[in-house]
Order: sequence, then structure tokens, then C-alpha cells
Amino acid sequence: MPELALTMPKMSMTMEEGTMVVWLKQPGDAVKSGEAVAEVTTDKVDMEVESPYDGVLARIVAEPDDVVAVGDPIAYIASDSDDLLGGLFDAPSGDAVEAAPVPDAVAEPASTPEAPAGGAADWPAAVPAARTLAQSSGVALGTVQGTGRWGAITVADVEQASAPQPAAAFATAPPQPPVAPVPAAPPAGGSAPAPAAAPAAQAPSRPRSPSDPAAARRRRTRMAVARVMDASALVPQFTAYVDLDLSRLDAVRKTDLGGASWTAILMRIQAQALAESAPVNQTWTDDGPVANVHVGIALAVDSPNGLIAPVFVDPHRGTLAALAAAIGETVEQTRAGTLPADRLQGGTSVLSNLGGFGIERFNALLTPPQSSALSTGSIAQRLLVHPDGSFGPRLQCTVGLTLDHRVADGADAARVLQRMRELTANPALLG
Amino acid sequence: MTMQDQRVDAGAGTEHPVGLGARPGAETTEMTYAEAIRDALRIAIEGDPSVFMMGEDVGRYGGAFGVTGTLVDDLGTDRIRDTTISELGIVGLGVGAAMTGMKPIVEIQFSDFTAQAMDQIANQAAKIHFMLGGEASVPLVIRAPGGSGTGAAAQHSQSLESWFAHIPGLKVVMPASGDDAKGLLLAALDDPNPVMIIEHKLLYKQTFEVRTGDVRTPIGKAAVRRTGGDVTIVATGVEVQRSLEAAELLAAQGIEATVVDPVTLTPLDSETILAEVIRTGRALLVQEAVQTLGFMSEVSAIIAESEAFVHLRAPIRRLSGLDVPIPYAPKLERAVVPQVDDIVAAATALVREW
Amino acid sequence: MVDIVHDRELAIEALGTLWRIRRFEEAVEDLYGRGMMHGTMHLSIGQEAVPTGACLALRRDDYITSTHRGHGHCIAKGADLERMMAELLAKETGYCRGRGGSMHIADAATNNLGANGIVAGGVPIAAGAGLSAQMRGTDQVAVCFHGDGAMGEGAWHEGVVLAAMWKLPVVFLCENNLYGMSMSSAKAFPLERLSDRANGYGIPGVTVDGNDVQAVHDAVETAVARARAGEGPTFIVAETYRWRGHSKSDKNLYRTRDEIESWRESNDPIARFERTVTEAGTLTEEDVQRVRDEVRDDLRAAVQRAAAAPDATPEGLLDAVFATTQGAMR
Repeated sequence: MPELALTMPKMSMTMEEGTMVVWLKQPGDAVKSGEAVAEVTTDKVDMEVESPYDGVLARIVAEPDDVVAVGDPIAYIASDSDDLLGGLFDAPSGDAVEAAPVPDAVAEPASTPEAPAGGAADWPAAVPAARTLAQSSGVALGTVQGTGRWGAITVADVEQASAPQPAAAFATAPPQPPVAPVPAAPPAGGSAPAPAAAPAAQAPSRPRSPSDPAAARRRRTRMAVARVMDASALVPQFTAYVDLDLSRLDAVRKTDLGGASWTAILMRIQAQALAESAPVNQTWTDDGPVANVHVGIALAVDSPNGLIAPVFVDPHRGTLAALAAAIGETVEQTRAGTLPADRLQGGTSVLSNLGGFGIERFNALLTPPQSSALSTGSIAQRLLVHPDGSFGPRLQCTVGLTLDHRVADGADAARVLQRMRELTANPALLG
Repeated sequence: MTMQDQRVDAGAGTEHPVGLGARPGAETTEMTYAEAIRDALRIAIEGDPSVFMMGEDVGRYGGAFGVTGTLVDDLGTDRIRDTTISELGIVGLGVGAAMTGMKPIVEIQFSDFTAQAMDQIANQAAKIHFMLGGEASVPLVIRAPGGSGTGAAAQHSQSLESWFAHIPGLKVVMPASGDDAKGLLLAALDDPNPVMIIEHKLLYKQTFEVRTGDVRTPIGKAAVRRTGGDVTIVATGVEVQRSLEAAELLAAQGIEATVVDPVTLTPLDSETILAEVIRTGRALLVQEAVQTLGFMSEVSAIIAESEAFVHLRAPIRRLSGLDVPIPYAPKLERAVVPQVDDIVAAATALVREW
Repeated sequence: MVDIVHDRELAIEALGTLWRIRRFEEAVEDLYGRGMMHGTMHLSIGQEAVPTGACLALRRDDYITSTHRGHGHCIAKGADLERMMAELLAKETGYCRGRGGSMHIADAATNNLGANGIVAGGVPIAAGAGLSAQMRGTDQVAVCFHGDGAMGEGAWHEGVVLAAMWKLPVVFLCENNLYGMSMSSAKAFPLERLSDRANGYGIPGVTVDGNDVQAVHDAVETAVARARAGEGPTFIVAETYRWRGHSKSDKNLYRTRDEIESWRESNDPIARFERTVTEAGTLTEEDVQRVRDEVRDDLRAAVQRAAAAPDATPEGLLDAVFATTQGAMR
């Protein structure tokens, strides 16, 4: 007589698993279709499990207190009854196609109607707080170019217009968004109170006020970092460290490697090792890990506006010289604030270097959804004992690889670090 | 070929009317709001064998508000059907008939009584097309008078439009003029969806300029009934009329108001409303219904979320009925819903203070 | 009177319908148990004779309205098993494209106006379909399936009142499975027979054995003939029993296992029908087995194809709220 599985039945809309309470029948007992054979407790209540078949309870595979997922067997019943759907779902059906990811019908906000004829000429589009600020800081809104949605003047636009000319005081600040020429004073006859005196008098005396554009920009960067780090705190992550021996690379860096920076070399090693690691080069999503289509290294740059991380896509491809040049240029843009916004997109990992400050090692935190981060410490000669007992100086750098533990495990991190050591030891592999 | 195919002239009725007058582009005549609806009923029922009307006392009695009048004499008891006092049953029969090839018009004597029929309106008529995956449609028209001002107190005076506008699958219209009362009823009969027409009791006996013949007021298109540069008043139902009167008084004080009548609550023509709010930078939203979670709260939110927000010179202002049941005493009844003076005061404050 | 029991073709048709309903619901139960189906569903196992007998008395263009426990009505009226199963499995190919699920299957091809998640929701709708048929001058009839629980709803009263007043061609067919969820119908309605209710509405009331295909058929056939003749509605109460709980979260605390067991043992409508037609010599054991096998194969194929179909997609949901054309079931 064939044995048919008695599975943990789904008994309520929300039930995903059940806990066995007691068996009402024992192996060898005859059971009838519809007869209660066991009790289980679900997320709602205790329920009886009925036998779907006439037969004999052959064996029990779930004991009281076992938690069993819906659909998993709890016992087998020897029965000649017809297993109506038997075999239908045992093997993946050839024509059962994995459903394509479905677009979200409602996430997309209803399209905004085409801008109707604009508002009144004497009433430029602005958010209320910008109007208030413009009034208090004596800026004529009509002279300000709005950069917000629908061309609206934002608070930042007014702050910018009310700030002193950037040239001297904010040499490192990024160039301002396009603004209409700011007159030294608002036009004569403007409705703003004390038009000539206000900005000039205030400028030098309030370097750290909230409307100081550089401070505001740094505050925004801080807020952005804080948001990302709050999200990072929810990701289970760990860091594994290894010492890289850079001696061989150092020997050819100025010659064969064309004087490439250590940053470029380490980024290339990082990217190459990540690209080769299927388990690590993934991103965690609600549906589990998804393979990255590229490696994007976000290089942490300490800029006057705070921490900014421009992304380099697939830096292990192309020449090392080109990468070195690109890094140099990008860092300059980042510090000058001229980095295009899209350069911050597409990161899958971070490269963060505090070696310049003499930091030997540290653990970099993940920037979700990026699944890994590499920290590099100072590059320095260290005295090492070799396996043969001799000792001597070697150029070393301690790197730490932080990983999203949902995506991959410690051994995966170790394999990536091991590969980085191999690449470090073989400059030829770096192209 | 069905009758709706013969009703051509698609463009007619899309131009904005002046005040509560007829929409441009057709011959007009004067008739009351109730007569305009009766005219539409006659045209629809005579022109299309699938159209019929049923309701309580719509036959010999002539309708609680005299809308059907003596129509039963001309159209017969088959097409103008007196029912038992069974709102749920009437709407339910309407749903069944609509699904099977008829175009029923159901009259609910007072919109308050839709509470009796709510399952068939909200759970059946509104959802059948979607829920059945498009397997069926419910071209049902429900006419129900709403609003206060008749001394009928709390169970016969409510403005319940937001109940219906809150249910996906229903179209909700509120004719403010005789011309629209006629045009919307005929347009509702063209529509393959359930349409709630919320008429206003105070308008039934008023005389309007109304287009003659088989005409339409488009569903889903707002009407700009007056244009002025200082403030945009958005009003529904009888408040459209009060807002137009208020606008004349405001003009005497040097304040020019635009008056927008959404006409259709769902699907709402927010584009027209937003354009008019952007133009003046001030929005006064007037409804007879109670304020809390009322339709104008939705309009307010649409403005606040849109481009119009950055053009506002003043906070958005709602002027609604008080959050109380409609009381009986005439003075009290008047006090709880916006009157012309209230609109003038609110608009003046918006313009003067901002 | 059509004699199903002694007509070989009709007997095979009836038996096929009985088994299709039973097998469909067993498969649904199995799929739910496997976690492949979500939501909840209401099974009519044990009640199959009512829709089977009733729909044999109907033409394809006659209307039905159904209930939350509606799989049987759908199948008996001729719905496609694969599209039904696809709907329950939340597939794009389902009757409602995954928008309705078990409680909202309608089928324009068979003039099935739809199952209904609201108790008695279909009662006025069926009366409306009857009104439509009457006004259009067809001789179509609408059969309103409902449960004993619907007898407590105002909608039942209002629908029947209007149908009686206008002598609409409607058959109100109550499947009295003895419980409105857990409320015993005997306790809820202190009537000798539930069909006595008809007296209060001025229409005929009939009680039949709801587990007897022929008896149900005959009662409905009589009522349909009366309706087609313009004599108005009839109220039929078919007494039957649901073997399963009200829905999947029913613990059966309001009735005993012995009660359930006694209905299963001695009053299984399918076993009864098989016995009747074989004893009458209309069908052989082999005929019966062939019907069972065919249904089993059809059902398995339907499940397999439905399971392989693409999942319902949210694309176009916002555009699906309003109809763009009128799709009347005439």
C-alpha cells in the first residue's frame, strides 16, 4: 500500500507554521478520511488535523512541540486512497516559469499635470519658509532663481542669495547652483526692509548661523550620513582583517605600474577580488541576495563639505593608469564640490582609507544597500619574522573587509581577503 | 446600434458656462432644475428601450420632490416604476438589471436613505467591475437629493458626497445648475459605470437657462463659472450658487473671485482646480458637508501636494458645514452651513490678511 | 419531468458535475494545506447535489447569482476549471485576473453573475436580472443560490418583496446546510420548515432533500417553468450539510464530530447518486469509474496548467477600477 504524506495543513489566513500538540492516533491505527488524527497549535488557536485519506497511520515524523512549516509532512498514511494532486508539484514543472518581477502599480505617484500657466508675475513660486527667510534676510525673491521642484525657490536658494560672495570666504565650497546675478544690494525701491544695509552688515558677524551656506551644506551631509548609518545599524555585519604585503608592488609601483597611487592599486585589488566572489558580490533585498551586475567602489573622500563617496564602476577593468588618473580627478572634483550627482550612484562596496592619519586599522561600516566595505590602514614598513626564521622589514597595510552577514559568511570574507593577498603578491595580475 | 451611439456632438458641453447658465453651443430655454431632470429622463427613456427609472413614489405621486411629475402618464408604469420602500432592494435590483443589459436610473428619495442601501452601492455596484476582473459592468445611475435648508432636520438633510467619493468604482457628480442636472444625467447614462448624482433640494424649484434637446455635461470636467484674479473659490452643490453671489458682493469691495465648480467629485478634474489656484494664489474651499474628512479636505490636500503649493499667497482655507447633525430650527439650520455672508467674510480675510 | 436517474447521458453529466465540484474543492483544500493558496475559502463538500440538480434545470442563458460558498454553482453552470483554479492561485489567467479570488468568480459565458462575499448580496441582484429579463421580453430565469444565513438579512427580504410584487422570473434557492457559520438555522428561524417563510411573501415555498440530485432538479424545474410562464418567483429550500468548517479557521465547536460523521456516512450526495443510477441499471460500475477517472484527469490538468500560469500583475490596476465599455450579460 503506498504511503501518502500527511502534511501540516494551513488552517488560517495567516498560518505559516504549526506546533504539534498531541497525536490522537498512533502508528498502526486505522484512520478515516475526515477523522482527527492530531492536534496542532497555530498562530490563532489549537486545531485538529484531519486525515485526508482512509488508511493506516504508518509513521509519525513530527513529535509534540515540533514546529513544522505548512506543507511539510508530519506523518505518513498507508492508503489506497487517491492522492488527487500526487506528483504534480514534486519536481519543478518544465513550463512553470519563474514569475518576472512585477512592477508596482501604485508606487509611482500620479503624474503631475503639465505645468499650467504660471502664477502671478509678482508672486514667484517659492516654499513658504523661503518667503519668510527672504523677508527676514532682505532678499528680493524676484531676483532668485528657484532650483526646487516646479522651479520653486527653496530655503537653500534664499540662503545662497543672502550669503556673502563665495570667492574669498568659501574657496573650497562647490560652485553655487546657477543663480541670477546677485546685486550687491537688492534693487532700490524693493519692498524688503533696509535693503542696502542688511546683508552687508550681517555677513561677517554670523559665520555659523544656520543660513551660512557652507555650514548648511555640511549639516545636510551630516544628516545624510546619519540616515545611512542608522540604516547600517540594522544590518548584521562583521569585519575580518588581514595584512597585505605590499613589498613586491612597491618595487614596481614607480616603474611598471606607472607611479599609480596606492589608492588606485588597492581599489583595483578590492574590485578584482569582489568581482571574482559570487557570494560576496551580491546585494541583500527583501527577496534575498541578488547578484550585482557590476562592482562599484565608493571611495570615501574627506571633503570640506564632509564625507562624500564618489563611485568607480568596475575599476578592475581598463588600465591602472586610467584608474589612477580618474581617481585623482574625481577626488579633486569631490573636494571642490563639482562632482556630478550621478557619480554617487551605483556603489556596491566602499573603500575607506584612514592610513594617511597613521591609523593602523579600523572597521568600516556598511552603507546599505552596499554589502561590503574595505578599510585600509597606514602603509608602513614593519619588521616581520619569515617562515624560515629570518626577519626583515616588509611594506605592510592592514585591511578590513566588512560584510553584510545576510549576504555571505565569514569564510566568504576570508576567501576574498585571501585573493587580495594573492593579487598583492603578483603585481603582474594587476595589468 | 444603441441610442448612445446616436447621441453625437461630443464636443458640446465642454466649454465653461457663465455663472449657473447653460453651457455654450446649443439652443436654450428656461426651466426649473426639476424640469431639467425630467426633460433628461424623458429624452433618455424615449430614446433608449434599455433605460428605465424606479424609485419610491416616482409614478402617480410624481416623486417626493416632483421630479418625475406626470412622466408616468407618457412613459408608462413599466418605465417609471413605483417600488416598495426598499432602498437596498431598489439599488440591488438596479445592479442586477444593469449587469444584464438594462440602464436603470434609481431614485433614492433622500440621499440620507442611501445608508439603507449602502451594501449594494459600496460592496456591489462599485466593486463588481474590478472584483470580477472586468467580467461585468454596472451602468447604474443613482439619483439622490442631498443638502439642508428645508427644515427636514438631521435624517433628511445631509451632504454625504464624501461617503461615495471614498469608494473606488463609483463616479460622483453634483449638478449645481439646471443645465448640468440635465446634461449630467444624460452623460451618466452613457457611462458604463455606476454614477451617483447628488442633486440639491433647494435647487429643484429654481429656474435656470437649460440647453434643449439631447445634450451632455461631461463627467470628469470642472467648470470655471466666474473668473477673477484675487482668490479662487472652489465650491460644490448649492454652495456654487452662494459663492457666485458672494463673488458679486466681493467685487463691490474690489475683490475679484474665481469660482470653480468641480461638477464631478470622482474622477476629479484637479488640473482645472490647480490651474485656477495657481493663478490667484489663494484657495477658499466651500462645501455644505461637515468639515472633518470632507471632500474639500481632499481638494486641500491635492493643492498642498501640488505645484500650486509654491504659488500660494495664503494658507488654504476650508469653509464647511459645522461638525454637527443638521438641526431643525431655521436659525440653527442656517447657522451650521456656509451662507453667502460667510463666504464673503472668508474670502475677504484671505485677501486682506495675506 | 426530466428523469436524470434513468437517462444515461444525463446521469453521466450529473455524475461528472458532482465529481468536478468535489474534486475541485478537494484540490483547493490540498493546495491551501500546502501553502500554495492564500486568503480563505469556503468549501461546499457535501452539498454538491444542489447546484448539480438545479443547473440541470437551467438553460445556458439563464442567470445565476452565487455566494461565498460558490465553487459548486460556478462549476455546475459550466465554468472552466482551469480559469477558476487560476483565480484561486492568484494568476493573471484567472476569471478575475487575481482581483477577486474564491468569493468573486463570475462567468459571462454562462450568465453567472458572480459569487458574492456579502451574505444575501446576490438576492436583490438576482431579482434585478429577473426584472431585466422581464423588461427585455426574454424568457430567461434567474436562480439565486443563497444559504440559510441569508434568511436573516434585510437584503433577502427586500429582494424577495420586489420580485414577488412584480412577479419576476426568479427562483430563490436556499441551501440550508443547517448552520449560518455557527448559528443553527433551526434555532435562528423558529419555523417548522424554512420554506414556510414564503407564505409571508405570497409566493410558493418548497422544501426538498438537497442531497438528492433528482429531487432538487424537479423542484427547480417546476419553479423555472412557473417563472418562465410569468407567474413569478418561488422559494425552494434544499436541505443539505457542509462537511467542512465554515471557512479554514472553523474549529467545529458548535456541532459534534458524530453529527458530521453521520452525514458523511449515510448521506453523501455523490455516493447516493452513484448507488441510485447503478441500482436503476442506468450506469454500470465501469461507467461510474470512467466518469471519476475523467474528472480526476481533467482536474489534475487544470491544476497543473493553472499553477504554471503567470502570477497576477499589478500593472493596470488603477485603470481597472472603471469600465470603459458596457459588458452586459444578456
